[in-house]
Amino acid sequence: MNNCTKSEALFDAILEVAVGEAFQKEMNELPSNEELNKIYKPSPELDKRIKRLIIQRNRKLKMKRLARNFGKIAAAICIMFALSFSILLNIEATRNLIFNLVVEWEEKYTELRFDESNTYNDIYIRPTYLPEGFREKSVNNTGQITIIIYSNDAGVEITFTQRTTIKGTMLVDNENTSFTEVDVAGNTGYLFKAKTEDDLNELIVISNGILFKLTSKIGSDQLLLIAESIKK
Amino acid sequence: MLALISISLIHNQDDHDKLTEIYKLYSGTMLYVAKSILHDNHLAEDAVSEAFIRIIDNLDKIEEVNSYQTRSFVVIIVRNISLNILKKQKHIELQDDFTSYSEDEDSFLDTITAMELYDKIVETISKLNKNYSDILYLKMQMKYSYDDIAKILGISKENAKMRLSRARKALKEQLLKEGYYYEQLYQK
Repeated sequence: MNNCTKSEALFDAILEVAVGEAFQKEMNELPSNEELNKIYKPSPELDKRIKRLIIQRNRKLKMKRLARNFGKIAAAICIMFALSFSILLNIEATRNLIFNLVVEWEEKYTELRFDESNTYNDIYIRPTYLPEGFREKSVNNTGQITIIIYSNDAGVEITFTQRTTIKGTMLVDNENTSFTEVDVAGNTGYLFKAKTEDDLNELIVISNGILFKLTSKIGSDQLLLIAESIKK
Repeated sequence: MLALISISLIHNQDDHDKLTEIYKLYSGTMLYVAKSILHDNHLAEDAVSEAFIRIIDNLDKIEEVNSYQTRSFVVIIVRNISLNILKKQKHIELQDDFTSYSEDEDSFLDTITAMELYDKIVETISKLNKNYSDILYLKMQMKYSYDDIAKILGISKENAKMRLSRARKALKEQLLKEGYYYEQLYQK
């Protein structure tokens, strides 16, 4: 090993420890989690977004595990079939159990599949119609996603999200909503009607490679009117 | 079969609990880090939401939720995403500390000890561009592979290699500027 290589090795060894100490110093300078949690409280919208992410993740995992375990489950069904004459659990009951589980998971979300990806930067599209009393409260653009929030004096908000579509699937939580397909100015709209007053109505429309999503507590008929006034 | 389904549900519940715990414990820290970079509540919440998606994708790397390692991990992810959002917002290139460092460059023939160099490296790392100090930490301290780092930072494996190489060069260059040259270590 020549001097240069030895120096490099020694430098790496020192660097390894130094990096740890430098980072630890930086982290120690941060206020504690408890202090920061008291000062920086997430908005209810962020809480909902995170909750939804966790639910989506769990469903994806369940589906994956179900698929992975399908072979094993099928084998188990065969064994149970063979044993069904001698045990209390009959085939009908077993089939119902599996069927119900799958249906339950599917009933909790709706999968939207996009077959192509589109890239548009800085999408800024506004509807020409807004329900009476609503005005623009904020606009946020993060490259390929723009979120416009409208609100009225009563504090009711309409969130209008516009983003480019990315090939793949999107899971929409429909646990507390009823799902229907509707016509929105010639495009298919996916309407998730809230079942209770506490839940939000959601309307998703894909037009010219852009996904538009309207979310609000206002009536779904109003969301449809807003969506129909969106022109790309 | 029932056991299989039960095990699957238990795993899901564990992940669900872990994710909820991470959010409860670190939401304030995540918002603080994001807001200190973006100076905007909505953007900071977007960054936290995006960071959470990345945490979900890398959940297998988190063992103990309430730990120094997990807090560092969360801070690095949210900081990385916030810097990317800032870059997109301002249409700016974040400062790249790397200029032209040559391995053959003449050194300052200062006499230094390993301990002096160590202190200087700690100080210099803290002044480095965060993109660089974070990748040094992930690679050299956490010992993540380039594939893992790419996944954590949302960049390609090649970019991860390039960024680490630039981080090392930026560090060495800064040490050189201040009269510290590590190659002298072994020659003494």
